[in-house]
Amino acid sequence: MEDAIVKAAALLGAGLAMGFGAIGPGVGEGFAAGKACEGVSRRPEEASLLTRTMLIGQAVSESTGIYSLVIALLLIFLFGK
Amino acid sequence: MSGDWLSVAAQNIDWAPFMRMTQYLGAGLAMGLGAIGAGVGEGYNAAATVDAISRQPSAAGDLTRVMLVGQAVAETSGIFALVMAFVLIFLTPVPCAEAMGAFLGAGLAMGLGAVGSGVGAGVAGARAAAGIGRNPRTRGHVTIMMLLGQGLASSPAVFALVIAVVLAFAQQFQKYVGNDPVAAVSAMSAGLCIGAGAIGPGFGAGVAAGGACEGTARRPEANNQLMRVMLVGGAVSQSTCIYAFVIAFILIFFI
Amino acid sequence: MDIIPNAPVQIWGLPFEGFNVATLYNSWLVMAILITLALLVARRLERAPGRLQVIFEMVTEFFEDLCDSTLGKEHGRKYLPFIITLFLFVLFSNVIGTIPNVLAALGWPGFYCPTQDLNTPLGLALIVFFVVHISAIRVKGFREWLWSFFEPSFPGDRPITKGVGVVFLVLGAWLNYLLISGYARSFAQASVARKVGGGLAAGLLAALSVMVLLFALQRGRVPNVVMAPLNVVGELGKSISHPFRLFGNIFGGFVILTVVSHLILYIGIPLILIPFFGFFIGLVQAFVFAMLALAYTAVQIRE
Repeated sequence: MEDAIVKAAALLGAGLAMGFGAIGPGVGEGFAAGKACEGVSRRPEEASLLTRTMLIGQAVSESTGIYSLVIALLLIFLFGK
Repeated sequence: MSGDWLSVAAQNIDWAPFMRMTQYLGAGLAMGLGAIGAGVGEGYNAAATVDAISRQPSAAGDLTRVMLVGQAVAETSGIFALVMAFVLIFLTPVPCAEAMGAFLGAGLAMGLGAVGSGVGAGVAGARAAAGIGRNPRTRGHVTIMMLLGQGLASSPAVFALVIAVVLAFAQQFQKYVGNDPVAAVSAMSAGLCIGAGAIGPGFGAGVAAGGACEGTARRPEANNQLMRVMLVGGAVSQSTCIYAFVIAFILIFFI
Repeated sequence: MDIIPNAPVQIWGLPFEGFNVATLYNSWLVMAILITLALLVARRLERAPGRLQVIFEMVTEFFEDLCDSTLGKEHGRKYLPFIITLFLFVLFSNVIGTIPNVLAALGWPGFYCPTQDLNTPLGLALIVFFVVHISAIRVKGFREWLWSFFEPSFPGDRPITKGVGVVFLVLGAWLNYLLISGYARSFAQASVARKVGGGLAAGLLAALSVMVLLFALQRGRVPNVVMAPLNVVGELGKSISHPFRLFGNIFGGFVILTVVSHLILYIGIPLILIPFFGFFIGLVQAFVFAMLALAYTAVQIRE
């Protein structure tokens, strides 16, 4: 059986990873959405193209958030249980 | 529970004074950190309004009214933090290590979680004010867009509040009543996770809402498309906050 | 404060213990309301529309415009009924909890948002997940759908990109093998049989990804195997965030109302908060839920 302190550290690490890992993608995707809104206000007829581009860009900038999620889940279920 | 030194030490401590300490510390964290976002956001909103009035003094009345509405919504997350601080002070939990972790976690969750939403709602209000200052006739559309965007931007604070309330009231469901150090740290970690995780998405959704407000002021006839883009973009930018919410739930209920 | 009202009940003599009856009855009620409204409107369609017909026409037109502009004319019509049903069901499910129990005399247990129970949004998001991926396979073909998980891929027409792609391929196959076998081992601490099974599954998956790679090399593109597990997690992450967004907001509104009501004993503020969280957040989140289902479909079927 592992030390309680190791498990506790793994769980704390999971919380830190997901918590701080969520900051960047959140801000970045918000910037993408804000710029998409400005673009739509300039050219409303291209709204669906802009929306799709925005969604693709957000999916890419979300990948760091997904890495955090993967690491947090690994820490919880491999080392924290 | 494992029989190592940390667990044994946790059994042999009288937690009662530490419990009171943690309650007050948690309440302080909740209110102290929680006031940052609302303060900065509302100040930013007011600054942008003053700026817009100096450019367009004839619209001063409208701008002031919109500013007050926007500030009232941006204050929501601060009020959540206030409510949570009261709850943390006046609850009377059974003193134990796990409850200590839970209360510290609840304070961190609400305190950090209110920062992003407060700033984000303030940014949305500020850019709405700038837009109205440029084109005062679009006041109605812009105000509705601003309220929608601020509602979206405050949902990370709502997620943080949910986790904080679950952590604070867990003892009512016979949870967090023992002295397991792992459970204590996981409770604190859950609070930290959703608290920090709510900062970015709240601010990001606010930026999205701000872009939509300025866009509406520039071209009110594209209102519907803008609303759609803002809601989808803002909602997608919150997905990392929702991952943090899920991880916090796992840390609370599956450990 | 009962967050999840569980009551042991018997339905046709069978015990349903631990079953969330409130969710069940209230989602049946929402379905009944929606079907009744739809039948009422469809029964009497007129040139000079009544009030109900005007509301339904407005909603339909709004979503028709939305589907057409997002999915294109040919697909838009097909997905319109699905999206609009999703929106109306979620909207009514979000709003129904704000009604005070006026039917208490008839033995009704109380109004309660079905979306406040995680199971309802999870079920809806599962439906959306299957609709999105099955329609992606139908529109793009199975091969292209599978390929989308190996993006961004390397073009195979130049030796440099091809070489880098092959290096990534070998690296990725190895990484996938490590990840999967590590996972399998952690779950298989209990028995040797499971460990062997997990190892076999991991080996098979690694072999499969190598096969996909070799197959793809012939077609002029080198898939990016390193990204494959992350793309899969990203796709699953969408389906995690989709239900939790709805659940978190509606459940959050309920938690706020409960806490505030307990703190100040039903004076004033709940009267402002109930319309805010019930109607405003309910409407916004219902729209976001339907809109995201549409956006996920659009990203998959329109390239």
